[in-house]
Amino acid sequence: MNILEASDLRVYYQTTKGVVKAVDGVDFVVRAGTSVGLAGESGCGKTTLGLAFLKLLPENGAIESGSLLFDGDDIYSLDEKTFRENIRWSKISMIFQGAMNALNPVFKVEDQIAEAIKLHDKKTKKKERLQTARDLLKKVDIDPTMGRHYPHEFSGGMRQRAMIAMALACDPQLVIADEPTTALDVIVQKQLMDLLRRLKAEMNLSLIVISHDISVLAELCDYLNIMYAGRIVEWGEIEEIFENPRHHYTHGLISTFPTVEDEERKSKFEFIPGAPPNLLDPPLGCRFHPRCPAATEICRQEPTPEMRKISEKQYVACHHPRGDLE
Amino acid sequence: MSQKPIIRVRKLRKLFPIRRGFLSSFFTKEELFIHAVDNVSFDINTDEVLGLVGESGCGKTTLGRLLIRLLEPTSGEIYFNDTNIVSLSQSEMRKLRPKMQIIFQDPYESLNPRMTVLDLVSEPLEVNDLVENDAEKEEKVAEILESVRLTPPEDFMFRYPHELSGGQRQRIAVARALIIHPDFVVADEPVSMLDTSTRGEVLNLMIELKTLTRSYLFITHELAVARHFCDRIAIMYLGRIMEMASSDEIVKNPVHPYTRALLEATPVPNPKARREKVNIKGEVISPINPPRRCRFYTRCLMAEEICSRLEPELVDIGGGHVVACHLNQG
Repeated sequence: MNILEASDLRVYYQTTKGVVKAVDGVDFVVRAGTSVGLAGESGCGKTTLGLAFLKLLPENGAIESGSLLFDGDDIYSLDEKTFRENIRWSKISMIFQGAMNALNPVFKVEDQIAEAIKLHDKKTKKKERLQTARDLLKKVDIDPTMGRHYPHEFSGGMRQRAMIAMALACDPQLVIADEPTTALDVIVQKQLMDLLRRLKAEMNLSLIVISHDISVLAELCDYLNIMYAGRIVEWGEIEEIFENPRHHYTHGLISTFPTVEDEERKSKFEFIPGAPPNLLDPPLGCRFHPRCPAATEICRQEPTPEMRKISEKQYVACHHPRGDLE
Repeated sequence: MSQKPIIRVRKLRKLFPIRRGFLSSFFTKEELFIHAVDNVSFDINTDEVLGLVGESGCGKTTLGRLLIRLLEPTSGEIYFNDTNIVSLSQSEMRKLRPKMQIIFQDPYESLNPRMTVLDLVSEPLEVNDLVENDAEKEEKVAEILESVRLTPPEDFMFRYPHELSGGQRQRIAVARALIIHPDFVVADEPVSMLDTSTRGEVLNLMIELKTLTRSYLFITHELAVARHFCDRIAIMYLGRIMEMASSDEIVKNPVHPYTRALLEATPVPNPKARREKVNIKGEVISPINPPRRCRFYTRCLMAEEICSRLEPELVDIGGGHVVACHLNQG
């Protein structure tokens, strides 16, 4: 069963330089109880897509078209008030990027978590809310008495845990984690990934993990979506994708990742030539063609290649997928 | 690989005093210092790339800056080709400067937005009086731009940093450091601000252009990058070097519990190889006046009594593999 299902979603930003098509025709599915990775380079639209699921876009951005289902129900056409009362935080919540700075420095941590509960469920009493906040802190391995402290007294890892506690405040079914471990040291990162995995199992959560770091996604996710210049170019079961990436961009991303496990020291690093396109004026046809080693004439022409099923567990949007003998 | 060292560091320390309020100075006599680099000794060989790996706040950037005297050490010696640069006067140091350069972490901050690429890249030539006229300057800039693959150079020379991508900016930073053919370059997290897809390009250039210099100190928090880029790796924790060996040795035969924890925590891009829990506890202690014992004591799962009262020294356990740990000294 799908807990979240988006089809042909388009999110555009109006800027002084023109329309930025940050998300341009994206299909996205989260099966209940699974964790789904969303990978891509900076500026590919992955954070925008995450925000769109929560309808939390900045003022100059809007969902232009598409459909969005949560648990089979249409949430795309809900008005802001209903969405806030019935969906945001109580069904879908988010761990925001840059959590180090996302907490308000002048309020105690437990008060901030309690406030999140209050905003979405006004009927609760203050005492209960504080108790829930402390329980949540305990759940993310923070001593509940630390809740009386201010964010600056927390280390980076603890602040990120507090942000996770806040995302869990209203007992959601789906949590979107946007770069949950970026800017943290590897050991703290590893501990947070263990925590997320444990919470997912304990609370029967579904997860969307957004990251530029595919090695983090490899540790956390069951499925993987690769996003490039506003579109998903490949998705499927994560093991399949790592084993046999079919899109040339996916292959590039995976092979550019150095690993400590290599037997031999490499004398050369892999890279993808060029830079991601400007979304004000993306290239015609397949958006990856200027950087692609396999591009031919058809890739330079509209329309953009359609997403198609290429194996039992894998979908790709490419005219010349890797490993295809023609 | 036992060439003559280009850099020799002996008992180097850098303490940053903590300024306290007027009133609180009445109550405590003890002076407080952040021990950023605390009694560190090592060599960097000619033609070698030494990696300095550690978590944020461990003092790796401070150490890098000390080596080229962008910071004044509190005590200790730094020999650059047999000259103790700590004792040099400012004007003597100035003469040595063209031999040592630095590449900074953030290409969005380190390049002056009002200068063109030509001005940025030629600045080291001008400062050190290495060119006679504009024609010669442009020729040298064009040459180095070619070698960092910003081609054709005429297209790039008159651009400003904001017109370049992150990868291109960092290649400008590399060009700027290498244009005067220094003997020693400190590269402080040169790729950590770049997208992974473009990092390789900058790293490959640095490897290729090693012919223009002699040795690198490569500072990074990513063991996976250091494993491939560096000949040797030094692991730093709270101002001290904990372990140092060839990069093969560090990843295949780590000895210090901290190095092992770092390796266990480094994510591997392979969903079939998910890791177990990492063997470490607690969080990094404060670098302000740390107690005289093993710095890793509070986080080590194997700590013994001796670790709580004696600070271990670096000991060679064979083949140049040095470790500062009481439990692993044979």
